[in-house]
Amino acid sequence: MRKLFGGMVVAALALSLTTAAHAQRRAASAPMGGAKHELGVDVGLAYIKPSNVDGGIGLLAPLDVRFGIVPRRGKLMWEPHVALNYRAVGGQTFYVFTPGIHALYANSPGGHRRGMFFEGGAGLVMGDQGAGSGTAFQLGAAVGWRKPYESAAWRYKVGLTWVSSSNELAPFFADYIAIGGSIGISLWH
Amino acid sequence: MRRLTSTVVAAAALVALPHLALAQRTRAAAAGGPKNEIGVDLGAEYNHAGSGCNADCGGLGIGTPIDVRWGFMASGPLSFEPRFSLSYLSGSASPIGGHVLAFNPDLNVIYRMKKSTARRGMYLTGGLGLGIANAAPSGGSSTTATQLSLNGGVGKRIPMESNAWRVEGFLRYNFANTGKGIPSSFNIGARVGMSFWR
Repeated sequence: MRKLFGGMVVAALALSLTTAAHAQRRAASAPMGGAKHELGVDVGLAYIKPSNVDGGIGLLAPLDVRFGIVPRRGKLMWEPHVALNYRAVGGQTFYVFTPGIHALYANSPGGHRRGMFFEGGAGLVMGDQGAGSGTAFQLGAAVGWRKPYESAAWRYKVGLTWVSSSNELAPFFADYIAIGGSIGISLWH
Repeated sequence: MRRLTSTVVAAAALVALPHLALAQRTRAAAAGGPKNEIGVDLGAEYNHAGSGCNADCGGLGIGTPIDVRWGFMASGPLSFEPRFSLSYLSGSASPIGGHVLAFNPDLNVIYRMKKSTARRGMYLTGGLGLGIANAAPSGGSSTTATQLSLNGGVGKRIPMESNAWRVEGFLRYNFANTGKGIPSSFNIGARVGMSFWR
C-alpha cells in the first residue's frame, strides 16, 4: 500500500511538473527560435549491478522517448520520458511501463540547443513479469552535451540510475544501479 | 544452404538500399529542404504464430518506442526508410545469465499517393526486415537465429506545425526458420507517432 501511495505521489508530481513546464513555455518570449519541444531517441549502454548479484551489460535502442518542453527563457527545462512494453500471450500478461520526468539545467551560453547540461530525473517502473504486479521508484543524474547537427543535434550523456527494490520486478527491472551513457538525436519543433 | 543464401541476399539488399537512398537524398537536398524524416512511434499489434505452433498461438503487444525510423527524403514519390531496434543484455542483466542479443533491422520503401507530399497525406509502404537473435546461457555456447520478414502498410502524415503525426496500419509476415525451430507468424497492427524533419 505504501508503495502504491509512493507511486501515486510521483505520478502526480510528474503530471504537475509537465503542466508547469507548459505554463512556463506559454509565458515567455522566444530566444530558442520559436521551438516548443525537443523530441529525441537514444541508444543507451550501461553497466547494471543488481543487489547481491554480479553485474552485467545492457545495450538498448531505442531506449525511451523523450519529449522536452523548451522554455522560452531560463536555464531549466522539463523533459518527460516514457517507455512501454506490453505483451499478452497465452492468457498471461507481461508489461513494463516506465514514465519519468527529468529536469535539464543548461550550463552553457548555447542554452537548450547546444553545449553542456546537467540532468536529474525521477520516475516509476511499473510492471508485471508473471509473478504479480510491482512498482519501483527510480532516480537518475547525468551530465550531457548537445552538439548541433544541421537543424538537429546529437545529444550524449553519462550518468547513473538507481532503481528501488521490488520483489515482483527484480532483478531485471528493479533493485539495481546502472552506470552508463546514451547517445541520440534531438529534433525541435 | 538456400536459407543461408536468401539471408545473405536480404542482408545485402538491406545494406545496399540505404546507399541508393543516400544518392536520391543528395538530389532532394540539392533542391533545398529537409534531408531526413526521423520519428518514433507507439505500436499495437496482434501476433499469431502459424507453422509449428499448437496452442496459445495468438497474442497482443503494445510498446513504445517500437523502433527508430530514419527516412531519406526524395524528390520523387518513392523514398527509403530504414528502421531498427537493438537490445543486448549480458551477465545478470540477461534473463539467461550469459547474453541475449536482439537486432531487428528493416528497410521500407514509402510511396506517396497522388496529391500527397513528403510531409502530408497518404502513403503506401512495403519493406523487408530481419530478426536476428543471438543468445548464450551462462557458460554455454552461443546460438544465433535469423528470421526474415516482409511487411506492408498504408499510412497518413498529418501536419502539426513544423512536424507531423504519422499513423500507419501494417501487416507483417515472418517466415519460419525450421532449422532453429522458429514458426512462421504474422502481425497485424498499427503504429502512431511523430515525424520530425531535418
